[in-house]
Amino acid sequence: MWGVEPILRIEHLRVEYPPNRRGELPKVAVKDLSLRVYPGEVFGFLGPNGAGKTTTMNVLLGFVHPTGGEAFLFGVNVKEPIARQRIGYLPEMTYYYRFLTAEEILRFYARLFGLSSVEADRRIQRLLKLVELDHACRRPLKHYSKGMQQRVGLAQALINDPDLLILDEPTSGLDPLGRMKVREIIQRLKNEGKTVFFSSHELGEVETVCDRVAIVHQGELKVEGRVEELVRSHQANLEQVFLRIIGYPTSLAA
Amino acid sequence: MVAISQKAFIDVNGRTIFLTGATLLTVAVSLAAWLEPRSETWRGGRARAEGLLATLLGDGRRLFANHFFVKADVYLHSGYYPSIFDQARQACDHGIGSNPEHTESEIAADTGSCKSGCEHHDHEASHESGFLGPPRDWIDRLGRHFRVTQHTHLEDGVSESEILPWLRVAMELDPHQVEVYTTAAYWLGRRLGKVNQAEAVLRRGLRSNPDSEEILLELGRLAWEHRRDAERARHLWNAAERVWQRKYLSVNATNRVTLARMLALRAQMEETLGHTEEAIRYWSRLQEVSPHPEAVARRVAALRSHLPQTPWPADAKSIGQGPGPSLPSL
Amino acid sequence: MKRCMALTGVVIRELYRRKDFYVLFVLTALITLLLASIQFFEDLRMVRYLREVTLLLIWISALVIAVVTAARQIPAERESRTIFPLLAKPVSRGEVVMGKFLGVWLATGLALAVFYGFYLLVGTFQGAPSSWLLGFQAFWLHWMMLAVVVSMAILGSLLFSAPSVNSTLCFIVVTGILLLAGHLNIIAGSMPGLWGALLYGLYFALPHLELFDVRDLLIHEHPPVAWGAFAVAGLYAAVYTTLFLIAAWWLFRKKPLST
Repeated sequence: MWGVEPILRIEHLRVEYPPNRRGELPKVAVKDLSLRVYPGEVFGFLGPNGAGKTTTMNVLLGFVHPTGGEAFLFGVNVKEPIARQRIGYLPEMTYYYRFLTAEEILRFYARLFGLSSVEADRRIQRLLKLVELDHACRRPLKHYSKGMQQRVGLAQALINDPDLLILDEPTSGLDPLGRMKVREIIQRLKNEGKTVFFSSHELGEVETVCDRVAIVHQGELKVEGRVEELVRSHQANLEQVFLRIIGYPTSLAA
Repeated sequence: MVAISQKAFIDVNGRTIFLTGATLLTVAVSLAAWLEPRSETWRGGRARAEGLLATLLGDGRRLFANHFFVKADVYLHSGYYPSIFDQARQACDHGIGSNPEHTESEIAADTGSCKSGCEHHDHEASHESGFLGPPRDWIDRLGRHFRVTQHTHLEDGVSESEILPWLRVAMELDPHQVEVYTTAAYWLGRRLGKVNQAEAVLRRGLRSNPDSEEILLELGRLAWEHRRDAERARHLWNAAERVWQRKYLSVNATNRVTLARMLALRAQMEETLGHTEEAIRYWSRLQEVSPHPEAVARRVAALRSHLPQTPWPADAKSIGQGPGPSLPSL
Repeated sequence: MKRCMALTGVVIRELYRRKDFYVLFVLTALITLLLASIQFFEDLRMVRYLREVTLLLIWISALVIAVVTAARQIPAERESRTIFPLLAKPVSRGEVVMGKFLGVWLATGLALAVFYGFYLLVGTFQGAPSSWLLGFQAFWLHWMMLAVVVSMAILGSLLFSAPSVNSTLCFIVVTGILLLAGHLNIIAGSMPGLWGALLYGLYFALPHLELFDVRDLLIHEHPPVAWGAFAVAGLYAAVYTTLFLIAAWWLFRKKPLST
């Protein structure tokens, strides 16, 4: 594994938010974070709220520019839009054009990836079937339920057949059935050799599907390693490991 | 039993609804009747305003009326018209104060001095042909390709009607602007041959402005020039003169023009009808108010010496054919 | 370019699925037809006032469509958070700005074509057809002017986050330019010293949108605009549009967008 070029590489990343108008001091969201994710891995990116997970993801996706350090996807600096050519991104909440139909929105994203219309059609039909929306594909998204919108989100994240999937809290707000479906899809992608980088608060879920995890707290990387190694070395399950690392008294947790 | 009680309930319910509705209606009508006269006190002058436009716009409608009156003039010149900035610059360049009367009532002046075609524009040629001046910069030079830079007029006897909608709107907005009625009547009657329409416009103007000697004057002119109804014309011009006498105690530079027109029109009509004595009487009165009485005096002398069939001098023939501004002696 | 066109397609779809255009068109058509049915002094030959009112309505409608649509594009993407899945694709922010601009401009152009088509048809049915050549020039110049307005509104949307504030400011600026910009040199000429110089500077810096307004030529049946001047006006609009779009891209380029 270590001889392989990482798909995702973060080097000494630092992100500061400037002071706001109310006179607050500049906020350091991420401090000297370095991370590598290798092909075929399912990587869990963990941390409590405000730890810097979302900021790190925002840097990877080009939403926020780092104050220091660099990040690379497939060896290309994330500042370049082309770095996102082979990734799929599923945001925590569904944010799509409500006046478009599922089919139109998938076609739009397919065009952004430069897919030919024949290829786009083929993938759209396959994905709509995968997320079980083929029957409702001509209805505007504003008439979709939350679960249906989440499935559109998943389909759009897969439209370019990505090699790396970045999932931000993919199971948040879903019912147990929905969570199970997402877990199944992650597992399936893993079996297909895809790389998955996702953040989650569901530690049980992470323990089930992840190969490796990183735990960040207050913008700093606290620990990184294979799930079974962490569990073995701490003589505890992942949840207890997590709580110990972020300094929460485990006796209280127990 | 149940069915009967249900029916009774429905009946009672229906009657109750009907009675309640009727009561409410009665109360509403009574309230309206009681409130109506009081509301006039609350709303003040607006309650007595002429209509919806007056209520909505208040006195601001006069500004709009003026705007549309100018718009009619813009149409007459096929869009070739100086902006307020051009007018101000011209005033500065010529070292004179701006003359809003010229631009805003130019169309009215047109009505007065137009005899056949628009010779009257000669007098304004220096003003208008060069209001644009030479281009001041490259933007100005480029801009002239996209705006009207040719001074043309509506003058084919048909297209002049294009100015009428704006005059109509101006009338609606400000029914007390007499100039709009006389102007519309001029274009309708004399240029478009719609005498009935012209008279209707003037009558409408008279209803809103019963004390307007100008409208009475124009009505009289219409009666004489288009209907050859001398009796009616006389009656109207007499009425116009009475209004004039009532309004003005003495002759001054402003009110002299209308009086002079009345006298000139009357004199000319009497002369045409062969009532020489009457004609001489009116020419003589005109001589008193004219700033150039010598020309009128010559006319009176000619009348006295040659009697009715004497041919008119060419310059005097136009007197009375147009309204005031065209009178050379005034 | 393919990505820009994809974004453009979404904006056009948005416009024709919203009701703004239809409402404005129906309103314009109703007012025009109502006015066409009115007889002033029993005269049926009057068409210029109808042209004037129709063109004024077209100008107002087009301005409303262009400014409101352009002003909400990027703020709406941010507010509804659709910007995140969008920028997570291999799309640069410059392409987003360009795509949004092209989308609004083309959509407004389509709406404008419908409006001008209606205008020319009404003229034909009234028995006083306008010059089709000048009609085309009027449409084209109007559309070019809207390119400047749309790019200005997009730039404004990156300066003022509330679309309503941006729209209002855009309306004020555009109306101010249309009414006053062409006269600033005259005013500057009458003002001595620094103020005059500043006003002259403003006169040369402002985009002269009034250049694109050939309504008077159309209403009063003047000959078409010389093609050379027509081309220069197009170039002039392109320069200002490019400047505004570059400024918009510059502002958007480094703008942090936190999920």
